[in-house]
Amino acid sequence: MSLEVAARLQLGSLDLDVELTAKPGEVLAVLGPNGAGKTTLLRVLAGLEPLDGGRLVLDGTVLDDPDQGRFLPPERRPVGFVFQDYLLFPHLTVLENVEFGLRSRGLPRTRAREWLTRVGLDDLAQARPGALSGGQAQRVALARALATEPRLLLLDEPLAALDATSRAQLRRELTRHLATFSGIRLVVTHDPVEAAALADRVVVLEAGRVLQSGSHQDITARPRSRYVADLAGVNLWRGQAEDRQVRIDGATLAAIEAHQGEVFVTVQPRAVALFRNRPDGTPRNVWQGRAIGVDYLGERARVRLEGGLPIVAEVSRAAVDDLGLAAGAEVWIAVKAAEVEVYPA
Amino acid sequence: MRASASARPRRERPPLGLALAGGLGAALFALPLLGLAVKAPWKDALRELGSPEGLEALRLSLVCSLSATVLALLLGVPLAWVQARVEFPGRSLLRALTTLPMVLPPVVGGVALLLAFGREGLLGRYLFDALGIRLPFTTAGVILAEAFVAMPFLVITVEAGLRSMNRRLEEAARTLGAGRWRVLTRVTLPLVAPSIFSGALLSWSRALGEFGATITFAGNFPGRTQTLPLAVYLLLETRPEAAVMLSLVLVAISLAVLVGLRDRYLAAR
Repeated sequence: MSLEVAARLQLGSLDLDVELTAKPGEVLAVLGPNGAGKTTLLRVLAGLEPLDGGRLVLDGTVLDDPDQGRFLPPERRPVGFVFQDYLLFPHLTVLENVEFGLRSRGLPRTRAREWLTRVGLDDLAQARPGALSGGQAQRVALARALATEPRLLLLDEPLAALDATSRAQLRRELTRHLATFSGIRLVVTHDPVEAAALADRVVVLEAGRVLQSGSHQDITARPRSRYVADLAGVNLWRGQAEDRQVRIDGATLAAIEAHQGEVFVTVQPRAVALFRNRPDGTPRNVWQGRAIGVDYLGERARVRLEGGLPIVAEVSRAAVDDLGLAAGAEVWIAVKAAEVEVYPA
Repeated sequence: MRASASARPRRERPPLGLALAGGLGAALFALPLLGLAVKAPWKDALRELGSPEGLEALRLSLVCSLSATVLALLLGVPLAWVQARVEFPGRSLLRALTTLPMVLPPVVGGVALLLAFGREGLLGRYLFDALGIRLPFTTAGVILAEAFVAMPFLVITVEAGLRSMNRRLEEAARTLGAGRWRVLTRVTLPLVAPSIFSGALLSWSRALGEFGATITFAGNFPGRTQTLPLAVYLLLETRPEAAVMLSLVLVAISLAVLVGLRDRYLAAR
């Protein structure tokens, strides 16, 4: 049970060109900003958008291959889809919603009951979708998609429509339900916490391209785009390495490891120290800048600085007051070379 | 909060001007009907109601308007679907054509029908020569004329319903293994059922009151093509009190159906 995707599709302003593979039983999170093409990728896999080019193969079955003129329509693909807004049929009861797929695929209807029991909604079998809470509707949508025993399950922002309080609990529940399913699972999300909680591997999609893929730790440790860097809350630049020096837009950062050529450079905000006067000590990277904005997170504050190399520093609330950062004070910025992470672009 | 809070009117009072204009609007509908009711010869009412020509016209009206509604449903729902879902050149022209009977004077519609389905008509010629089918001045002609005038109401309503429904529900159905036909019968049609119902009701109301196209295309033969509106018009010359009575019958039936079905159905939604 494996999935090979090479998807090329032009849709409005979106230019999708994605290559990815999933191993049997793998849970993949597709993470990316709005408009990156995440939902379109799911629609392509479900057969709701035919490809312009490329090839989709699930367990050796070709789902879509425009060059060969092959296209399996959605109703003939062994693919389950849990939509962001669930899309339960409002004119059918909860039970009939789950039965819909079974009837359509000619499977015994009795399984619908079993699935409702499994997601704990047996007593709501005769209810209409309109009477369900967001969490209940999601479970029905999940039961409906899983009842037909698809080999690939697609979940589009499964928790986005829920309020913050129920989200944490439902994330745990969803993880539990997803664990009972043995096929490949593809979860689209723009929430890195969700991606980390639900998936074995994260694929970062931006502007229709896969930018990064790997475990959540790998990706946040070595971001390759502004989007991921912002999610991980680290400073990220792209520059030219020459031995232990990295040139970035005219500025230069000293690192400990030697590299050559195009690299990414990250610095954790809490590794950035700020001084009123020029520090006289070990840090190899020292330059002058000016605070242009402060965001408070409890007792800590994130200070955006410009001048030399734009950077974000994380300091205490007290330090913000001491240095007069909120008023846009001039400060000295210091980063130890040991805190400068460099990796090839 | 004290007791005074609960006494506060829950519904907002409408602006006076608006309420006044609305009241005038209601009066415009109500007064003519009141006139009918007041002027009706209630003493002779039962006798007139039981008159053979009245009953015959009533029966014919019901049969023809219901048949026309069924015909409109059979042809109008697919037409609405095509107009809402299929992109093709000339779609806006087709849409204009299907709504034309709503603005056309019904008499003109009747003339057009004669030119198409009459003995010497575009299609009528072949229908008669090849199949021996004659539509003008027959009960079938009445049904055709009524459907011609009434179907646009159904097409417009159903098309609007199809356009406003959440099409992603159809996609959800397809991912669950439903082919196009199953999607249509199990998802699309049930979801636009309220529109189909309202459209059918509007069509039926229009068909029941049809006069101009019917008298032009099907003539005025008692028992064959003389529906209630036609009977009313003719009786106005000879026995006005009977005309009033039949008019009241028409009003009563329409009102009963509209109140009973439309409001109950719409309120349930």
